[in-house]
Amino acid sequence: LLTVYPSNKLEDLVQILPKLLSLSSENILQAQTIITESQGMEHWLKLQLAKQQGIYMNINFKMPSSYLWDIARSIDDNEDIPRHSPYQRDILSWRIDKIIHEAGDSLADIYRYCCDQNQHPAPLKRFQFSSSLADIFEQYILYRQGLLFRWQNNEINDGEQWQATIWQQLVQQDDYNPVKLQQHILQQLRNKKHQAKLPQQVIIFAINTLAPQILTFFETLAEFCHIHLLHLNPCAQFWGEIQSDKSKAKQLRHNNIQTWMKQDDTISNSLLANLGQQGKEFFNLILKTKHHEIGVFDLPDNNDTAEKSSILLTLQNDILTLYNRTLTNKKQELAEFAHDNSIVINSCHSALREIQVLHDYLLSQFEQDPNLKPHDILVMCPCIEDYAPYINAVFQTSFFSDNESYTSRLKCTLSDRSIKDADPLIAIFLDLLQLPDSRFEVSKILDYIRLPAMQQKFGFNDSELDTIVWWLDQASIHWGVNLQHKTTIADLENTSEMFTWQWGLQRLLLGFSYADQEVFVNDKLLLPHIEGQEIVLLGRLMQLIEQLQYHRKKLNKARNIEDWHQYLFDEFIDQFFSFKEADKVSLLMLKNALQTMKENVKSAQYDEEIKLEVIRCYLQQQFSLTDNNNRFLAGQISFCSMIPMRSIPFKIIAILGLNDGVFPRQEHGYSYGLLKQHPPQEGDRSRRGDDRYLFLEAILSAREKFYLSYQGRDEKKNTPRQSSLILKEFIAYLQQGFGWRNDDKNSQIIQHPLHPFNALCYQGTNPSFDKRWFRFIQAGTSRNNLISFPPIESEGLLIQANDMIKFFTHPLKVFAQHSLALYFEDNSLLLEDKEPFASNALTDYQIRFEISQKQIKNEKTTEVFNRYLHSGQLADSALVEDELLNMQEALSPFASSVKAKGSFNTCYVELKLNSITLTAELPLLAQNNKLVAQNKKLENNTTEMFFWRPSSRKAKDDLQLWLMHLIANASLKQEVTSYGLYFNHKTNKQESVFFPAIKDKKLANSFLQHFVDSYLQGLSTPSLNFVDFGKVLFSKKEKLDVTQISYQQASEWEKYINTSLQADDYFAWFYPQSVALTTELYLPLSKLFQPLYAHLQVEK
Amino acid sequence: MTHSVKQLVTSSIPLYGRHLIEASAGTGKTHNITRIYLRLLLEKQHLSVKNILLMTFTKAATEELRGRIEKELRHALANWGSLSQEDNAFAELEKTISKKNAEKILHPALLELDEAAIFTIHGFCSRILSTQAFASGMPLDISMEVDSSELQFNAIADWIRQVSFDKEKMLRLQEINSHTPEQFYKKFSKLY
Repeated sequence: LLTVYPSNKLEDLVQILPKLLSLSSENILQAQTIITESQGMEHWLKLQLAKQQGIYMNINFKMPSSYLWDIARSIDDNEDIPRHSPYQRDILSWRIDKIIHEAGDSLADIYRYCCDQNQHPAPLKRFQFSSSLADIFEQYILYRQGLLFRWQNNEINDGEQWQATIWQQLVQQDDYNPVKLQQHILQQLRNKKHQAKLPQQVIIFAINTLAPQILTFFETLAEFCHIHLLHLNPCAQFWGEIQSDKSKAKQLRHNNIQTWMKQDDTISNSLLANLGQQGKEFFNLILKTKHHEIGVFDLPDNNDTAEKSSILLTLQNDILTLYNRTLTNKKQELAEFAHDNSIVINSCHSALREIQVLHDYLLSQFEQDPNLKPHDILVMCPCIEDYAPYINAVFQTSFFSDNESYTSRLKCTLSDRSIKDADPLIAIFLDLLQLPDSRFEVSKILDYIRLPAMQQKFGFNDSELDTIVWWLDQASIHWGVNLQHKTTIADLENTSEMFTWQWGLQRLLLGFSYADQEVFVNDKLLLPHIEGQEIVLLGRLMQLIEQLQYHRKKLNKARNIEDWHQYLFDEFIDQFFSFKEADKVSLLMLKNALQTMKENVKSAQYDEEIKLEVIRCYLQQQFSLTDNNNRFLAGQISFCSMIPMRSIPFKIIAILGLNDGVFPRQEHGYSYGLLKQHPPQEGDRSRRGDDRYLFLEAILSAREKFYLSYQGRDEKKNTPRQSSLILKEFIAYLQQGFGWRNDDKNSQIIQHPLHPFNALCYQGTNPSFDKRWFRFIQAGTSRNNLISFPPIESEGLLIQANDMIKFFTHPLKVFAQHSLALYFEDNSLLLEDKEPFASNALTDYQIRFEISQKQIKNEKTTEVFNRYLHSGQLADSALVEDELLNMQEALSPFASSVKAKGSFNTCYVELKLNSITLTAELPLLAQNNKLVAQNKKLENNTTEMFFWRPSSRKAKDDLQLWLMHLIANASLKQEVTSYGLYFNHKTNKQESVFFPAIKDKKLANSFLQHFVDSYLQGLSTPSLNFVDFGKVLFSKKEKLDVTQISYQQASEWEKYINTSLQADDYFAWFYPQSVALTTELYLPLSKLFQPLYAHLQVEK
Repeated sequence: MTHSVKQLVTSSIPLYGRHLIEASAGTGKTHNITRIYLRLLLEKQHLSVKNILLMTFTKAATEELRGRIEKELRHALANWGSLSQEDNAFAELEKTISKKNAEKILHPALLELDEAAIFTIHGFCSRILSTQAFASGMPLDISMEVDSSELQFNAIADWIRQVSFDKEKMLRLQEINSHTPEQFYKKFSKLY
């Protein structure tokens, strides 16, 4: 007996479920069977049954196809039907792979396709092909049994030959093919003695599509037991004959236009007709069966109440009663619905904004409806992976600690995530399977160490990670295990072990046992960074690398499935992951997947050796599937992918990402699939059709609000983007039926601003709740960072000249750091996966400095060379050594010039300037030092000071020379001439400058006083007295006006700000709007730096 | 073969053979394409939107094209019979095709538009390669990279590693300032 209970509401179907369950007169301990099509539905049913009956127990939930297999096994006398069908996709792909592998001439073309360019077998390509064919065969089994039956009888049409051959071989291998099995069951069923083995009744719940052959099975089963088919039908009227415009179009093309025109063509409800195609086909299939029907429709009492309800409810009733509002709208109806907000359509600029807008919308819904609970809300996206990170960012985690309750965040759960994207342990596991192809990039290895399960296995903790990163940076490790690995994986003929793990770790390890400073031993520069107990940590790191290296080799071996399972299951997993409570689920998932793989391959009787790439491909396929851990309906807001057969009622249903090309989702079949080549048959499914029906179901399942959102504007250009065609149809229906407006000015589609901190987000009917973004709007009212403090008490202050030099190099930075304790420097190390191909400017400078130092002291530079050549800071190429030699050669005249200046020693001086004391260390001519120290008068009453640097002369150098020059002349009894010698490394030329002695000590004092005043002032209030500005403004030798800004100076100033200070964090913080040169800024600069450049003499 | 250059008249251009339409930016090429598209649907009634291939350069352009066609079709559908009042180009079409017939064609075309063959050139090629993988010998799971610069960059780095101990080559590279992958990429990536 087959009883069909159609209803338009799932709630009503659930009401009758307990009654149906109580009908059974079977043994009370006998479990009853309910067949559903999704786990989400199963979960919802359990909750509903528990709610209604106070208890939920002893019910077997099954999927339709697996139930068929169960019945087959239970009534099979010989008990030789295997537990898993060898025709299920995961087993079928291995079986097909084997057939192609062993194929003879009959499959020559296929065999050739599964080879590489050199005609060698390509196992990965073959397996991928086999998997796709398994997919297609699975569809044939469901939808084209006739075709398979024909092949089994050797009736093969053109273009089917090779597929038929493979199918025939599959059937030969295993007789219980689905076609035969179905006939077998039907035959067995008719044999009455099986009655006892069948359940008394079976309930099929809320299934909206069944493959025709499965329906036939249930129809036959209904002859022997009672089958209740409870399903949703959006429409109480008979609508099986309504043709969607689309099928009409096909008909139009197939027949001729005249005959078609004669048909009655009133489109009863265009939404139902256009979206409901798939359901309609299912209902037509049911109609053809022998059945009783008990309708459970919830029809509106009378039309008046319906008219006053919301657009959404009216729309649902229209569909239920097959009423086409677009043809018969009346004016007063439109007015009724003008301010209705049961249907909301939003357009945003990006996925992130869609989520933010949704979050605000939901918050306002909670505010308006105190009875609304998180579990009343469902949010669907075409593909959850595209939205998962944003959902996490907006709903789940707060960057700031929770106690800072700026924003209330709604809790939610995500379902249908792909395992490899959602589970970091699985992702790392799959990544580890790539080890044979891995270059052991430093960032990759660090990713491994950051995984908690791996951290624990190897005994790292988070705080030690920073140490490791620092070591790796110091040791210049970038990629490659060792010389041999580096050579083979990058196909290098001639290279060194530099930058590899072995090279770097060895330098650290040997350095630990060798000395407390860098030493060059046996062509290795040993590093002193590891001390004491830290050696244990290094040991752990080395163990990890060794382990990875071991498995890199071991993975590459082809094995049969037994060995693969044993290796991966018992050895591989155990050696990399330690499992705390938190990781147990991941471990279980991993182990289950490996176990299933073994069972599937064995069921396929596939005993060949399998290559790693095939294992990897198979596991990747498995872990791309959605995660079965049920997080759907967990009491929080449910986010999920759009999966058919989840027409569970919710108060609010939201669908995001309704964009053109994204939804309805397209399906790209393979050209050899015969399903598309044949005319479509009743019961065929397509992704597009599924998606259309799903949208209809979503409309019908929303009880209060239906929220739609898409990306209607380009994030970068703000140009319009197209919404999904389905959304367009829906809007068109709303326009025609309910007077919705979609014109540019008064559109009811809400266009949200690009940024969450746009003031518009906080205006209108649904203002945002996010207080953090709101602060940015206030920030627009210009915040002044130019903070000042009371002047510094200068009485008795001791100032070092070097601090002053530092100050005038960057007064804003010194003020920020000294007075505000504000640091913008980012000191975190970023390890590079690529070795240096050229040295950086800083290293170059250091090398120049060290070489010239040696040259000046007449020492050999070998030590410097060795240290740098083996440090990993320079490129590893044939040119480096020559470059160093060139550098040395170029520097040697410079070193001679430095030497020629004579010998200089530093001399400490203190200078009293009013209430403060200035101290400095002056490099003075050595022969005079003693006398100077005693402050005795020299015979000729002059001396010299000398600064040098093997780099081009900068404003900072001029400043240093000038300040020291002033201090020397002011504090010493001698007249001091100060020389500066610099080396322009680009032109290889020396630059020599000097300040002639200042005879008037008062003058020197007064110059110094300016600097001291400006310095002290700059510590209590931000100032712009950069020496760079001084150079830009005053170093040109033409006639300058010290009080008047020239046009050229103004433009130089602007140029400097826009280039050198453009990326300066300190400048940007104090002067976000930049700053123009005013007299107020110019005068102090002129006072400080004009004399400097006026006195400076450049030697040609 | 000689080319005759004519003024484009979308209402009368024959819907067969090859036509090269040349115009500068902003002169209404897209607009004319939607017109021709509309004519193809209405005059060749056996064509579905899947059978008319439109190719353009960028993804954004395909989306826009689809949107424009949708608008044009919807407009024609809603106003059939009075279209020639605003644009005389429709006069001939409206005379030969009744409102009812136009609806029969345009309404379903609108519903099928998500399956319309509107592609970028790359997108079309990749579609053909993957659906015809068997014939092309390509693996089944090929996907199209939007940005291949990282792959190029890595290949350059490997090549420089290979020659880095070949003094002569390195010197020559250094002469043209291309001895690091960054500089090499900067110099040569724009050449094609």
